[in-house]
Amino acid sequence: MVNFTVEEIRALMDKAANIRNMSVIAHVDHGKSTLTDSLVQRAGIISSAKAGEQRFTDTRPDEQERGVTIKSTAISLYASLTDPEDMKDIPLKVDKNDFLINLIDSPGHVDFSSEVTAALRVTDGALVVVDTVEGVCVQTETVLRQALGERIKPVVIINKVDRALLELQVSKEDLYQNFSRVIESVNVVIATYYDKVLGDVQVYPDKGTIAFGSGLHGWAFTVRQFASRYAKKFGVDKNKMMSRLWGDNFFNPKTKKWTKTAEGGGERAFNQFVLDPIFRIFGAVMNFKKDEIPKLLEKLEIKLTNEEKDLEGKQLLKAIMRKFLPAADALLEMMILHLPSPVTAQKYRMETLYEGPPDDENAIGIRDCDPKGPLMLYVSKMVPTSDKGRFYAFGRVFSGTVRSGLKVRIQGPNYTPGKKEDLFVKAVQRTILMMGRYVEPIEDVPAGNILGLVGIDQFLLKSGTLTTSETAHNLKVMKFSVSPVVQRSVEVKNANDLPKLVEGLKRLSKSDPCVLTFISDSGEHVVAGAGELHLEICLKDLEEDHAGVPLRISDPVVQYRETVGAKSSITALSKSPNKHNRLYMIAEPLAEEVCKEIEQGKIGPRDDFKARARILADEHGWDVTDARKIWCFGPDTNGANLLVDQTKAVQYLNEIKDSVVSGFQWATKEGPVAEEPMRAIRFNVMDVTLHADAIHRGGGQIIPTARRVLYAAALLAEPGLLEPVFLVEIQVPEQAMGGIYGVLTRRRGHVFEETQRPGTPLFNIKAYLPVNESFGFNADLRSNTSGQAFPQSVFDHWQLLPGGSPLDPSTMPGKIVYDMRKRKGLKPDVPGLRM
Amino acid sequence: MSPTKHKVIALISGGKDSLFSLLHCLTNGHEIVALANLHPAPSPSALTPADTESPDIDSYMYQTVGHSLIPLYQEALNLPLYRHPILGSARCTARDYAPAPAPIPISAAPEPAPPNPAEVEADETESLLPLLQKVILAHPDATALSTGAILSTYQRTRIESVALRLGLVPLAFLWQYPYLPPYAQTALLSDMAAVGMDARIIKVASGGLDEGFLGLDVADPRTVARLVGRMRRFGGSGGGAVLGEGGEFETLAVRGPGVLWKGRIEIRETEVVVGEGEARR
Repeated sequence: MVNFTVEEIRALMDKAANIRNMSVIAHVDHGKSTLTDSLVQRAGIISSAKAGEQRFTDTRPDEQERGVTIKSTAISLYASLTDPEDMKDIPLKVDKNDFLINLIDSPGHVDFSSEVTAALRVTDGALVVVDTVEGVCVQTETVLRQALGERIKPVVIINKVDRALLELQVSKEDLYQNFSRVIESVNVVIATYYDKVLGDVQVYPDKGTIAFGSGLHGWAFTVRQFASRYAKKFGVDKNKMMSRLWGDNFFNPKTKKWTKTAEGGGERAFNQFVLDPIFRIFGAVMNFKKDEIPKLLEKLEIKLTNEEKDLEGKQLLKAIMRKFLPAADALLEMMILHLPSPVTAQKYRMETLYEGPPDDENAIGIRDCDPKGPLMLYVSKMVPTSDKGRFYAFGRVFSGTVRSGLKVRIQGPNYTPGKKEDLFVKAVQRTILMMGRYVEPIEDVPAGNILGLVGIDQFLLKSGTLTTSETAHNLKVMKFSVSPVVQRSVEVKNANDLPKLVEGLKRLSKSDPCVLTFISDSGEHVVAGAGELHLEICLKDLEEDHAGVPLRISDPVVQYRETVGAKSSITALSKSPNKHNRLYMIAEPLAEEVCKEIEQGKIGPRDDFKARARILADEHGWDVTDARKIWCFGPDTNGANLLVDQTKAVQYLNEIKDSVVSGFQWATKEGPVAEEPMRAIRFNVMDVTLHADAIHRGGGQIIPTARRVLYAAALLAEPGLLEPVFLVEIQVPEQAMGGIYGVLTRRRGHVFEETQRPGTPLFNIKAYLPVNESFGFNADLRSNTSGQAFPQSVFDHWQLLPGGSPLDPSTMPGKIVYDMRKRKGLKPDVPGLRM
Repeated sequence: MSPTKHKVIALISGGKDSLFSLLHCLTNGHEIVALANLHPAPSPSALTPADTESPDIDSYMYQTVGHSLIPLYQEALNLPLYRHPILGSARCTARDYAPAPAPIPISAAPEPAPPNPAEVEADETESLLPLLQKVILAHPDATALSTGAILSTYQRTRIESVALRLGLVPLAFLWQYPYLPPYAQTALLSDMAAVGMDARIIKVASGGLDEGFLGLDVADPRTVARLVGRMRRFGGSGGGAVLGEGGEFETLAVRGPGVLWKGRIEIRETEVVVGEGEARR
């Protein structure tokens, strides 16, 4: 039975202080979806028997099959705090005891981390799930970094404690030490990405921001829960009890004294008061001490039904623990008490969310989370509907109220205020509530809530801003931590199916925030994804769902970047087709740090040019005058190549700026060597001579000239190819390590870190592996380590392809260029300077 | 008051605009008395300037590609043709033109020493002067000069400078054509098609235009549509780009209405020469 109605939820939506928007994030297989189940079960949507097995939020058949989350799924839950004591601890005062939890379960596999980005944007808090045994992994770190970047407050649950107890058979003190190590490494990550405005968000068990539990068995606890229990029992202050239940606090039951050391027979309070009951239950049940169990149950005030009493072993354990420490209680308490409501969060998130000035009506509406303000809604992703080819636009209302039939301005990512590009004015057909695998219609949704919209999908590609204010700027476009570096081309087996493929590609591109689909010069349809798995899922969707026609799929191909290794040996010159205009340019390498900052969005085309110049001058040693004269970024106006004006007193220069910029965008998107995008090149406009009459220096004259002079400048500056490199993290037992080194060496990879996980025979290996060599890596690795190694690869950086000049076909880069040009249907030789 | 009837010297390049403006002259009741054309100075190796196509000199002022075919217009239009080589190049590249002051007589200013005439090359515009003087000598009753300028202020001011010095009225019937009713960038081309004029594209020099355009009739609606489509990717079709006014392409008129054209030019063999610079998609 569902124990709440849409009406109840709608009533709660008006009380922004009673809302918690949160995402569940973690490394793959750390148990997010399983934990989410216990919350869904509390809301009454799935039976408690199935919780922990059903993975309610894994809605797709392939997700269930593979046991891995692919798409993030949202669900609205209704919760209430039963203990009036708890109400006092809520940071922002609320008058009602009911809460609306909008929860998004996100995928953990790195290939899908764009889904995480989309989920984080619409939430204010994050439940970070960490595996007790595996600890903080590469993806834990990535998602935490993403969360903190969006100013999202984390709470942590250390999951799979049952594994530590049952499989590893650790002692209480070992378990405590293990917990504190995991917590410490989480806090190290949090401290690294410290944000002044968000404040200190490190997590501490004695503050109640960490829970421990088992999603599979459906139980979890916080130190705070135990503190409340004992506070009542012993009549001590709860907060005092909380601080004593973690860290170096020891209690000697004989002398009834608290000490700071274990000397004199004291036992750590956490072990004694928190872990002891749990260990005893485990011990009694798993060792089949039938007579001890009822006594224990009585002491802990747990009542089992008659059916449950007949259970044995793990099933009985599950039943008892679930009654003793229900996971939902611990999680809900933690979320309600420690995660911010939209009212609190939007105050400090506004400036990172809104592109416009921080004092216009829209910014103020967002800051105050005002349901009466102008509508500001961010659509973060598209969710396929049962109606083929249509999508729900999924997003969050930051200000104002959206309702069915409301006329809104739909602003795409390229919209600039005052212009009409990328803008539609359309009515919202319906507003809906996302409930995992179901949707519920709802009349209107006020600020602070997450929702789905019907009828917007035709007007937005993937994400965008919806507003009612004509002056509104965009809400910031999301930056993804992964880039689509692996691509495969697809073609239909049946020529008649081509229109279906084209339509299917459109749908695919809409349904995934990160996938890229385009037509190459040689006329192939190309799909690019973050990794092998991502691409595999995308293509499966394309074939079976979006297009629904049989496809032929090429081998995966890597995207390269073209770059330069030095300054142009001479100034490059190009004349316009009518010979009456001349452009002079020089190319030089752009420092890697600057490129990284551009790619992370720290330096961008929309920054104030003076502030940007300051950063470039102070942190990257640029000349301030140069730094102020950046004409543009490219490709796509935001890539890591710069065009800098270094001319002195040139007439009419401003009139051709747009044309030169267009040529720059074109050239940086398709470089001279193999028509791959350029990266890390700074182009300087040295001089320009122009025809005096504007009619003789139009776009048709200047754009191709600019492109040619950029090509020439790049070719004169020791051109090189950059290849993408994965950071691979592998967990492996000691005896299987030899196999890993063998596989990596064969594939041009190298290990740069190797640490043993304390208390386990597991090793954690970090290595760099060129993406080009990564195809089939997982399978190769498994066969060489008898299936004991589990790799996770994520794009990390670009590296110069070694082995010589790409212009010389006898070198390795030259060979790659030759093949690439052939594949793209270009002339096999790189065009010379006099093209 | 009846409008003045001029006797017009027609500056022709072989291009669509110079010949189309002649039709306008006739419609407005003027009489064409002579054709005038400037051709590139013969290269020293060429024996006879008329029958060898010396390389295109990419002049700022004059269409020079296809200049070897100009003598054919004498027959096609049944009008006398006068020609003169282009001497010098673009010296003054400002938008508005003023001729270089005449060398000051030595007696008036003994110092500084007069520049060596070989060093001071005349602007290519000044080549018009001897050409027109030659025409006026043969046709003393000529009163006006017709050109095909549409939007290039650069070209218009130069023609005006020379014409006024010789007492000729400069006529430019196509001036600002796209900005006159019906306000369409391609109005000129559709008007040409309407009167049955056929002009072939003989040179392309712009992003977006490739070899495929060579030899096409510029006034053909299909060609116009292709031009507009290609130009849209390069800063739009505005500003006369579809008319080739910025030097995007050059044409050769081969056929036209009988009121002017007594014959037509037939192209028998063609050769494509790829110059510096690429024309791409």
